[in-house]
Amino acid sequence: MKKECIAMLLAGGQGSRLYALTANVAKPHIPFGGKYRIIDFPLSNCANSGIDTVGVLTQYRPMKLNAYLGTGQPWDLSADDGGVFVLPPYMSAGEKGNWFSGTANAIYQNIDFIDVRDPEYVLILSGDHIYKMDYADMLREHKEKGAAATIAVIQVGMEEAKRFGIMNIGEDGYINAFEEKPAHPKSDTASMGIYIFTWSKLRQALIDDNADPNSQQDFGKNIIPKLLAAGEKLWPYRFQGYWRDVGTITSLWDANMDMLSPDTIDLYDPNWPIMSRSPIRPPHVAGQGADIRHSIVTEGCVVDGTVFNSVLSNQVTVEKGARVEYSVLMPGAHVEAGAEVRFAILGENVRVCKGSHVGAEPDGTEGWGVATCGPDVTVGPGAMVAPGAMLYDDMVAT
Amino acid sequence: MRNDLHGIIYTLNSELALRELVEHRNSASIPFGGRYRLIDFALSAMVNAGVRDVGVIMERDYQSLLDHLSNGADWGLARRSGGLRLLPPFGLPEAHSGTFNGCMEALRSVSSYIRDIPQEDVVLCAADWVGNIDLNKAYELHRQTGAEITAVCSEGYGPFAHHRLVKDPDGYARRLLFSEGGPGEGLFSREIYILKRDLLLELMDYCSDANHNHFHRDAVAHYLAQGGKIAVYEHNEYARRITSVRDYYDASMELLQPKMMAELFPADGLPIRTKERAEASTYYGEQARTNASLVADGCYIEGELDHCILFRGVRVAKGAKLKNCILMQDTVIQKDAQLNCVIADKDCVVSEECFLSGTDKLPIVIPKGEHI
Repeated sequence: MKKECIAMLLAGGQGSRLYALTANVAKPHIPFGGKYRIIDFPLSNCANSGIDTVGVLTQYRPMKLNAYLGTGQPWDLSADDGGVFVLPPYMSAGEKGNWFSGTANAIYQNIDFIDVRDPEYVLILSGDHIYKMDYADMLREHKEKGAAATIAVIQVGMEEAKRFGIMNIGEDGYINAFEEKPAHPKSDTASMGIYIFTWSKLRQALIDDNADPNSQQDFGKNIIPKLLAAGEKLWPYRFQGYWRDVGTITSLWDANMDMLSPDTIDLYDPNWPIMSRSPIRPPHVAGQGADIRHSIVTEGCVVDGTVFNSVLSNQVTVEKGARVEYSVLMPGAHVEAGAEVRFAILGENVRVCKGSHVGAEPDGTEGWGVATCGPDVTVGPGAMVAPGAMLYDDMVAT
Repeated sequence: MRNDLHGIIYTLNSELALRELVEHRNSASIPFGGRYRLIDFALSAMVNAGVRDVGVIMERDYQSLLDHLSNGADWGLARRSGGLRLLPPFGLPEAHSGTFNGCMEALRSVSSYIRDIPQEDVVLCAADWVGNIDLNKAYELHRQTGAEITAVCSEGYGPFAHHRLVKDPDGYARRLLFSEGGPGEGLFSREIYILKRDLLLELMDYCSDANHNHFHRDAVAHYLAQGGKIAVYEHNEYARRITSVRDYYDASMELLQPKMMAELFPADGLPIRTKERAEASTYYGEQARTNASLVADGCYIEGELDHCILFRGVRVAKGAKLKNCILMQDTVIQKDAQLNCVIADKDCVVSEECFLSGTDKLPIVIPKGEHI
């Protein structure tokens, strides 16, 4: 079954900079924006772009992610001749089997999976980005420009540039240099970690790279520089629009807050729906005396208290007399009467007991940050979770 | 858990008192409770009891029902063997209007399907009610007692409660009463029955020979007259029959009481399934105000809600004030409109500064797709 383009979604990273939130789940499975998990964004983009075959490369703590993906039906990706395929590392006869040692190695180990589909092009995606993109448009440019690889790029500003892979673009419009996280960036055109490769070129590059003992087997660090050095044509696909990497607590919190500003990303556009697997829950209840402003609320929530500038995933409870401000509450979080949650992220099924406080408003001090409670943590009655704290375990008042 | 129970839902002629709500649909697909259709309650009850095969007998105006049910995947009924079976009117004599004169006539129209049911027992009900009825427990009672018929009954009186079963001291009912209004003896039938497939076929034959069409008046009465007895499963939590706009409005508004909400949608209890839609969460704007309301996903609320039910994808613009209203899917309320006791069907638009007020006894119904 010949395919023009299939997608390979890198979802194996631990997301170690999310600490307690990714202690037991892979980063792409983290709840986001109320109704979603992070991986819903690239999966929905695939479905909306007409890409019906998606290989999802998993490695770190994949159980919940696998269950979430299922057959891919919620994203309309369960067609007979396509679908979502979970691709964990595996063993071959006579070998011990290897973990994916880098992003490129993950694809290298699945060359057979791609060969069976015999695509002209392969789209490489990350499972930790929030954005809406028409990959069909990117593929059109890739073909038009006769490129070996097309890299989606975005302007990030000079001060941010050193956190990204930075492109230099020549007068002919093609990429002529690439530096991964440069100390002294020459431009602010950053790679979004979204690539389209002509499969024959990528296939050879992966095989060559695998034979190089000094390679870290990473797209940004190894494959792209090698293609450049070999004189291949690399084209930048300039993306306009909302795009965020949500790899840190601050960026995860920021991006959630962005969902409250309709001008950043439109989640209500029927022409580009972001789809998700939702639990079966009734509509949310805004109870007698509830006060909800500038917030996102999801089905299954029961809100009797005050919620300002916050994002509530499904089945969140905010009791009467509780107060939630500038916070992200993941599924099943429960804030009891008299408790206050400010500038915080509450993981799944966190319970904030009566009279306790989590987080605080920014006070300009060095140590301030978003307070985070890991999944299933209970903050005991009257306990205080300091701003910037990262709670892995239950806490009792001292 | 797999069991030996087969589901049949009949979606018979919609009551005239449902007015605009059934202008474009059969009563089985009337939207209810922010994200459901009436048939979801019957279907979910069956699926939650482990029923794997369900037949839905349809009458006229079933396009909206077909669209809702599709292949049954959202209820876990899209199966290679069995699953959801849609039974539209078919093979009727030319003079037949496609409207059945009663449950027995509807069943007769699909008699070959019923004869082929592989399971021993059948759960049979209409699709004009809401509730979260544990048919597992009813089925357990049915098997324990070895009864040929088990009826789901409730306490109470009212126009909906005119088929009444009177229990004898041994727990079985042997008398069926017909009383419009109350007070009457016994419990009223929720018109949900578990019965042996073979008994159902016998009763169908009897009614066919006698040219009878009604389940209670003809089939059940005949069964009891022959010395039969009915096991009674009682359900006394929230459940309502919807046969008029007034019923619809009252049953909806009752959901805004936390107790009723918890009975219909218990936090850890049996889920009510419905057709999924890709939706974002609901957004409340800076100036949004909300009190005692039930809101589905995908809404965009910048105005004020007080005692309202919003279905998926409703938009309420700034300055709009809504009280005691039910707004169905994708309805748009523009700036500064004021609505009180209004039921707006799907895809309605209420323009800026529009003022509409019904009363709780006589709510205003805006038909599907109207622009006001």
